[in-house]
Amino acid sequence: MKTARLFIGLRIVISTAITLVILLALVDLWALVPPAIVRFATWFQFLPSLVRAITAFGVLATGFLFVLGLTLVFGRVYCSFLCPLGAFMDWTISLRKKFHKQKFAYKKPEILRYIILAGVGASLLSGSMILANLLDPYSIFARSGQAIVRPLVIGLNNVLAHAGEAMGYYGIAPYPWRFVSLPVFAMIAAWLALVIWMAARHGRLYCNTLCPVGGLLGIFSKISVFKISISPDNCIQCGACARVCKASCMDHEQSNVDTSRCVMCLDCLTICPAEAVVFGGRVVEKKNISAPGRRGFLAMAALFLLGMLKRATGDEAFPDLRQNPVLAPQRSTQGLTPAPPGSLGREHFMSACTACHLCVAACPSQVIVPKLIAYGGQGLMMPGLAYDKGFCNYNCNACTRVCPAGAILPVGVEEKKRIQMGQAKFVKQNCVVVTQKTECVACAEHCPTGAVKIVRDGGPGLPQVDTEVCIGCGACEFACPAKPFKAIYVEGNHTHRRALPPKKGESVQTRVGDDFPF
Amino acid sequence: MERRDFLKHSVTMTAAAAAALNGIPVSKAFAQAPSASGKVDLAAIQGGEPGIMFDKAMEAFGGMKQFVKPNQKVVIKPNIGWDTPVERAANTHPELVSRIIKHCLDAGAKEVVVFDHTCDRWKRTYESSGIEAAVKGAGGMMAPGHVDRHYAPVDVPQGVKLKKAQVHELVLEADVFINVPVLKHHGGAGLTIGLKNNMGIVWDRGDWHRNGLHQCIADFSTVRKPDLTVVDAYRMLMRNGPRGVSENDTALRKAQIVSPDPVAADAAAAKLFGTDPAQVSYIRMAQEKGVGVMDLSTLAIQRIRI
Repeated sequence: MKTARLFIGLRIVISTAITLVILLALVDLWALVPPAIVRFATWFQFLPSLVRAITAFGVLATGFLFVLGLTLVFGRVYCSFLCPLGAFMDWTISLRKKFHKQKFAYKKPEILRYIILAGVGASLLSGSMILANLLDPYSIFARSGQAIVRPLVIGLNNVLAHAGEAMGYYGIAPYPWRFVSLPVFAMIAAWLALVIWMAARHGRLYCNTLCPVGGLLGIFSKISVFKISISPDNCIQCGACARVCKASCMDHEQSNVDTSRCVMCLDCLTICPAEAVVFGGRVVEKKNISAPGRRGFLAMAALFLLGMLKRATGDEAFPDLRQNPVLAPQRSTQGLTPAPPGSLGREHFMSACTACHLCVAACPSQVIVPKLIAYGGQGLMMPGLAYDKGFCNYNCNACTRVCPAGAILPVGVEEKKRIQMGQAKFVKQNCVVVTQKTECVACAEHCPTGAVKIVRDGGPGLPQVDTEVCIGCGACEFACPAKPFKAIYVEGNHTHRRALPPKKGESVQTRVGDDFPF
Repeated sequence: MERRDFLKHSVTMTAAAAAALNGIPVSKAFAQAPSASGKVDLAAIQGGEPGIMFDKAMEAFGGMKQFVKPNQKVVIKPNIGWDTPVERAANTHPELVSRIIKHCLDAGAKEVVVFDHTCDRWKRTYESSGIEAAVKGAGGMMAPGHVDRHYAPVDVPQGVKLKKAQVHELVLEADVFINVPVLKHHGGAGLTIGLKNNMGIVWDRGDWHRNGLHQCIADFSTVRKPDLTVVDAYRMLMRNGPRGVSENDTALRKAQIVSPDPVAADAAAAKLFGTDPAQVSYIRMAQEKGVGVMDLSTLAIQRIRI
C-alpha cells in the first residue's frame, strides 16, 4: 500500500505543521508570528469555528463547514490531520511505544460520547460555554501550551538575557514572568494529565468518549463516501489491524470497521499483510451498536436540560461578589471584570469563548488573565482584563487578531481606541491627595484619552473621570499609588460602548514665542 | 554575581562622589571648556532641525570630546515614556538621540547605551517613538529599562523626603551620563524637563507620587548629576502633559537647550516654555541644594539662531 504510506506521511506533515504553528503562536514572546498564519491554522478548528458561526458569522466561521464536508467525503480526517490535541496524542502514543510494546484491541462502542455531544450541543445553543470550555480538544491543547510551554520559553529567554547581560550585551530583553493562577493551572494540568494517560493507555480513547467534536464528526463519518473496511474474502484473521488501531474500532473477527470511531490515521492500511484492509467507496458497514439507546437518550436529555439552565437564569443570577460601599476607606476596588476589546462585552464574550487562551498569549501587556470560575460562574478558565500588573495598551489590538471562536472579533486599532470596555471609578477616600495631602496626578498622567483630568480647587488636584471619553483601559488603575486599596479602578461594562473621541481642543501653536526669552 | 556585588558596594561611593561634586560650581567643574568665545555654561539654539541644532551646540562647547573621552561608556537617557508617534511630542525626538550617539562615537566612546523606564509598555514605546530604530541606525545599543534586577539601591544622603532610590545599573556604571528630556507640560510637576526626566532611571518612583513629587525630584538630583543635559524643544507639548491627547496639544518651537548644569538647563527650558523657573518647585529646590544655577543672568550663554 504505497499510496497509504504517502498519506500517512501527509498526515504527519500536516498535523505537525498545524500543531507547531499553534504552539508557536502561544510561545511567541515578541509577536513575530504573523496573525494571518495563526488564523489559518485555527480556521480548521472545529468547535471554535462552529461557535463563531453560531455567535458571530464571518469568513472565519466557515472552517467547520469545510471540516464537515471533509468528513462526509473521507471520514474523520480532522482528528488525525487537523486537531492539535489529536497530533499531541499521537506523539504521546508513539513515545510510549518506544518504551513499551503497545497493543490495542477492538472494543465495543460506548454511548458516552453521544451523551456528551448532546450536552455540549444544548449548552452551545443556550449560550453557555462551560462544557465546551472543558472538552474542546483544540482549546485543551492551546491553553496547556499557554500555561506550561510558554513559561518554559520565557525561562529560556531570560537565561539567555542574563547570560548576555553578564557580557555587557543588553540586546536580549528579559521577559516578565506571568503564570496563570494556581487553580487555573491545576485544572489545565489535570486535564492534560488525563489526556496523556488516556492516550498512553488506550490510544484515542479521549476522542471517542469525551470529545464532543469526535462524537459529532463520528455521526457524519458513518455516512462518508470513502471509508476504511475489511474485506472478509482477503482477511486472514491475523488481528494486526486491531492491534495497531488507536481508536479500537477494527473488529477483524466480524470483518467490520466502526467508522464512527475511526480517526483516519490510516495505520491499518499499511499493517495488513493480506491487503484485506482497504480504503474506498461503496462500503456497506455492518450494524454497529453505537447508536444511543433509551438510557442514553435520557442522559442526553438530562445534560441537554443542564446546558439550557443558563438561558433561564441569565447573568443576573450570578452577580460578581463585589461591594459598593461609600465608606472610608473603600476596601474592595475590584470591579466587574472587563471583557477584552472586540468582544462586544461580557455577554457576548462569555457565550463564545472556548478558553483556548490564544489571546492571553497574544497580549503584550499581559493583562488578559484567565480565572477558574470566570464571569460570575458562567465560564471556566475564561480570561478577562486584570489591571493589577499592567493596563490595556491604547494603540494595541493584538488580542482581536487571534481569537478563532469570534469571542473577540477583529477590530482595527483606530476602532479599538473608541471601545469602552468599562469605566474608571474614583474613590476619593482612598486617594493619596486626600490621605497624604500631597500632589499626585499619576492617574491623569497615564490616561491616554484625557478622560481622567485633574481638577484643582485651591489645594492639590483630584481626578475627575469623563465617562463619555473613558475607555476602561486601566492605565489609571495601574498607575494609582494608593495602598493597599486603589483610589481609581475600572468597572467592566456588560455591553461595550462606543466612547467619544478624545477632546482635541484648539491648537496651541500660537502660544509659543519666536526668540530666546533669556 | 561579582559585578553585582561590586555595584552594591560602589553605589554609596558614587552617590558620595556626586554629592561632593555638587559643592563645586559648574563653571569650575568644567573650567577647561574652551570655545571660540571662551567659556560656555549653556547653549541655546533655535530655528533648525534637531540634529543640526545639536551640531551647533557641540561647536559652542568645543566638541563632544569635552564630555566624552575615548573608550568611555556613555548612557543616554531620552524620554521614551509613551506609546505615541513623533508628532505628538510626548517623547524625545529620535533624530536628536541619533545625532548625540554619533557625536559620542566620533569622540571615541566605547559604547553608547540608550534606555528608559517607560510608562507605557516599553517594547511599544521603543518602537513607536522611533527611538529604537534611530539608536540602532546610529550604532548605539538599546537596553531594556523594565527589569527590576537591573536597578541597584542607592542612598540619598542629601534627601529631605527621598532617602533611598533604586537606580539603573547602566547609569551607575556609566562614565558619561547624558540626559535628553523633551520639554513638556506636566499635570503634576507643572513642567517636565531634565530633573524630572531622571525619574526614568529609577525603579521605585511610584512612591514619589505618594511622598511629594517635587521634593523627591529635587532630592534625587543630588544622586547622579548628568554630565550633559540636552533639552529637546523642537516640538513642545503645551498641555495635557505628559502624554498629550492630540497633535493640537503641541507647538513647533524648533529650539534646543544644552548645558552641563542640569538646573540651568531646566531653568532656560522653563523660560522657553513661558514659565518662571522659580515657579517650578523642583528647579528651585535643586538650586537650593547646590546642584546647579537657576539664575541665568550669572551664566555664560551662547545663543545661536539658525
